[in-house]
Amino acid sequence: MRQYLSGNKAAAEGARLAEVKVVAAYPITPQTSIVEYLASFVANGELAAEMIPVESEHSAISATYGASLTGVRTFVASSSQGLALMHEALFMASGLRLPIVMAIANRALASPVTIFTDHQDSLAQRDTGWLQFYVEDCQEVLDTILIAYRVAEDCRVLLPIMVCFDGFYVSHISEPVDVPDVAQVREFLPEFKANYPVLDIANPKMFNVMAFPQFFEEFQRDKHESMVGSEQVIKEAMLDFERIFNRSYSMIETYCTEDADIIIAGLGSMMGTVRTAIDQLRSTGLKIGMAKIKSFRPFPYQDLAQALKGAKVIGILDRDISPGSTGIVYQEVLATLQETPNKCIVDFVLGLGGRDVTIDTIEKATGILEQVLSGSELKRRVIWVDENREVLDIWKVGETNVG
Amino acid sequence: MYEIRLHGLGGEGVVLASELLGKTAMKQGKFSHSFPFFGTDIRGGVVKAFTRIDDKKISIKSYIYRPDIILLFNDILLNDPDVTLGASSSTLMIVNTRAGIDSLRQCTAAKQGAKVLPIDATELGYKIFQRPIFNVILLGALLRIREVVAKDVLVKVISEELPERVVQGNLTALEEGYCSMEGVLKDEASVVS
Repeated sequence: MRQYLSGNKAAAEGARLAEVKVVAAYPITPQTSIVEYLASFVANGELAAEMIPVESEHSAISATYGASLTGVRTFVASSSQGLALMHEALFMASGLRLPIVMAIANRALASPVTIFTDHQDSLAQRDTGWLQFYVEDCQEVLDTILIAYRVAEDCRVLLPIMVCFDGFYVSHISEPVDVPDVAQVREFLPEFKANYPVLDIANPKMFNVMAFPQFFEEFQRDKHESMVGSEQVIKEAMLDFERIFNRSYSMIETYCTEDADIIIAGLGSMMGTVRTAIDQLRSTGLKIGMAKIKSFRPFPYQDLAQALKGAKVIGILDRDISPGSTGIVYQEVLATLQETPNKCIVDFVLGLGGRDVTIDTIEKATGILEQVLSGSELKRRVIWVDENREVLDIWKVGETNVG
Repeated sequence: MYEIRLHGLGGEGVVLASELLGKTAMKQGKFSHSFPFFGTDIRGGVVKAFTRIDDKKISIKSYIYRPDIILLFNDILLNDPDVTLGASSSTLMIVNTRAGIDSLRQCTAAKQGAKVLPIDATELGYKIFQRPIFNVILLGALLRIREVVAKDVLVKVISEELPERVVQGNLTALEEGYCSMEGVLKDEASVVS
């Protein structure tokens, strides 16, 4: 049934349709209403789950992984500082090979304090061993949560997954969303049955024991190889999803790339704006396309290289920064150079802390890519597309505000 | 694509109004989205919201910079640069104010070429609700001037979506807002088909 849902409501609906058994989450803007919706589903009897109220995000993820150890389907959600507080337990969840799904309404990390979006919070958790999917709109939020459970619980994967969507731009936007019925969802995502030893008080076992040096690295290798191998599982799940729900997804989603000289790549909701900008730029005769990176972990190197194959110049949109280096997505794309040599790749940092990524922003970045295409050299490794140095000019700020 | 920007203060129902428009458009078989922008303030802080309506899927996810319509819930913000941003001769602005149409000619948006129309929605709100509730009144006024969504579908959305105890009041509010703009010339070629 078509409903008018926010991204947060779509995330909660995804968890409801997946018939999760345990939810533990602590509210934080912009994720808060996910927790509220789930609490009301449980209170109204629409979802037969245990809702564990906790006093912090560290407890939320700890309760979730405890619950997951018993072999049930679990759901958790967070943002920003809350996600950062979970950091050490995130490694536990992946090391214990728990198929937890977490919704993340992306929000920048303080300081200075902000409640608005960028991808720094989830990208800072890049190496925790969780799969990471980045989505663009509310329909994709709901659908990707279902796909995430299917992938996470596959015995070839058994790893937790973050489904990341931009705070406000997706979490608080309301859009028409097709909400599937439970029977369809059950066909795609049957009840979860753990086929491995689980936490059971009648049959006590120890979990999370110490691994000595001859073993530890092997656990990491196995985790890495499962993650790399999950590409196949993700593709199968997406195909099956399309068969049942008639909506198709891919790890790299392309738009107008076939004949493109310039391709723009990036994550999240801003890629919707890029799509609109491309329509406008194409009408002026520019051969431009885009590649939306939906799966950031595992990173689909081959698929991305395939998408970028024909391009002469590639612009990466980074809604994040690794200070002192470059944008984080840029580094990943550089690693595809093995498959795509002789390409010029330009790094744009933009949209941090909710700075609006507009059609103008994309056109400005495109202007720079056109210059590169015609042979100009870039003076800087990282280009801050919408930078405005005036606002942080310490002397001017001092004069106006301090006197 | 139709782009509507709503401005007001927290508690005035800006976000709900923007969602009602989007939801009504969806019920008419159109594509739409609506989203708010607010800071960490609660009631009384500045709020804006955006609604887009189109016949095809809307992929853009940025704020509205060239609004077809500005709905201003509180004239305290009349000349706020954020409110008047992008107002032009193709913009219709409806303002909740006691000021008359003549005094509004001096406001920034009017100087930028926008067609600015006043409505004393607060007063109407007191009449209907005995409290300053006026978001749906403004929607009624908008629909009288420019039929961005079908009024009868909005009636259905209000009846189905709002809590039962406030449905009747809001249906009255919609009608009162609509009728208050009688006599103001309806825009031609403004109906989203």
